[in-house]
Amino acid sequence: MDNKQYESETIKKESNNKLFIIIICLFIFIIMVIGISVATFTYTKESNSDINTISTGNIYLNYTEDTNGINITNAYPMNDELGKILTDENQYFDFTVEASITGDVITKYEIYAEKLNNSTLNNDEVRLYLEKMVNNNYEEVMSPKNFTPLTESTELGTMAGSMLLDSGTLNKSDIIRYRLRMWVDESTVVGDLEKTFGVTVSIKAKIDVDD
Amino acid sequence: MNKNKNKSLILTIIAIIILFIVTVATSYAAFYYSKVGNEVNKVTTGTITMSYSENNNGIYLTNASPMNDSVGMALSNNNEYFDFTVASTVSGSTTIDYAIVGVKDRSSTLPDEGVKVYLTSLDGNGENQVVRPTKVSELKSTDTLSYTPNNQYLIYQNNFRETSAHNYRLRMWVDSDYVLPDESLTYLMRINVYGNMSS
Repeated sequence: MDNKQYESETIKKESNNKLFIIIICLFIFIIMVIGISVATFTYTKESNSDINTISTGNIYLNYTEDTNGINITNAYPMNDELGKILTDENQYFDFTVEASITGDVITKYEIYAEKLNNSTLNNDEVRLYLEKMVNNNYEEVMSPKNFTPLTESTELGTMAGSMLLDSGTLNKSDIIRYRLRMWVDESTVVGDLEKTFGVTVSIKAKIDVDD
Repeated sequence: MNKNKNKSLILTIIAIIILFIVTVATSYAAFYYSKVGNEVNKVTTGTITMSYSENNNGIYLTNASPMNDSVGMALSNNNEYFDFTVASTVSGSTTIDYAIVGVKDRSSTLPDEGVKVYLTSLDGNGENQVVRPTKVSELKSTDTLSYTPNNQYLIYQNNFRETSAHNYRLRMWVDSDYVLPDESLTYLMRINVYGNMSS
């Protein structure tokens, strides 16, 4: 009888242990699910407040267009030396990429240009030139180049057909000020028909959160 | 008893595996950020047209005798001068260089040393000398210009900075220094104009 009682108690104990472990596992699982939900909720909320911004509480990334776009009319072909120093307000385009990151994350980004569909100049009839500000001076990031579309999409999602202007990794607190210039390639033959070339500049970034 | 033990062990292992998978899955998260720019960056080319028109049939001298410059410069009959116009339409601001070039016809028998050319510009007030009377043989070659064919005679270079038309009158005669032989000689020159946008 005593033996039977002892066995029954042992089984009960084991059963309790098993239940306890399962409850702990479930509890941890529930906490994690809630944690992810909260993070997702935060992201959604922040991105609604500013369409250019995402935030998870410790990641802030922003792209702003600081000047009106380049708008050059009656443009004639020019060499790179002249194109690189175009200084009128409508001859360059400033934009900024800003990051404020805490925690262990790696932020890769790509700046790219997309050609407007109504462009009539060929890709090799236009030059693009990108600089970024370093110690209050602009330094060359991309040497003058004809519009060179990507043949395939990148890992970050920049689509084939776009031109990659710059790519890199953002530090925890980075403000990168870019300046884009665009002009008609010196080899372009200008005739009696007006031709145009237009691009928009965009950014794609990937933030890898590694806990 | 053993069965129960095994069952509990399996359940525990499964729970741990689930926990491990969930932990691994949540320890890596990636956010993607994408912003498409609104500002359109646009370059629009200007337009250039250039034209050359000949206003009369050109110079046609028969039984021409050598003459001095003052006589040659005053030739005024219809077949003794050649009027032409170089015009350009330019939008915006740019400079178009052009060259007035003479091309000697292969059938010419009179040597370049024996022929003088004289170019004037025409405006509302009359003629203004552009190229003084010059022997064809003393004209520069076009070889130095990048936008003209080689081995032609460069008569004059000018440019356009805006939409405008330049009118010219060319005269040609046998130079007084040249001693005519007994036979009849001819000299034919065609005028071409080449334009190029300045860099």
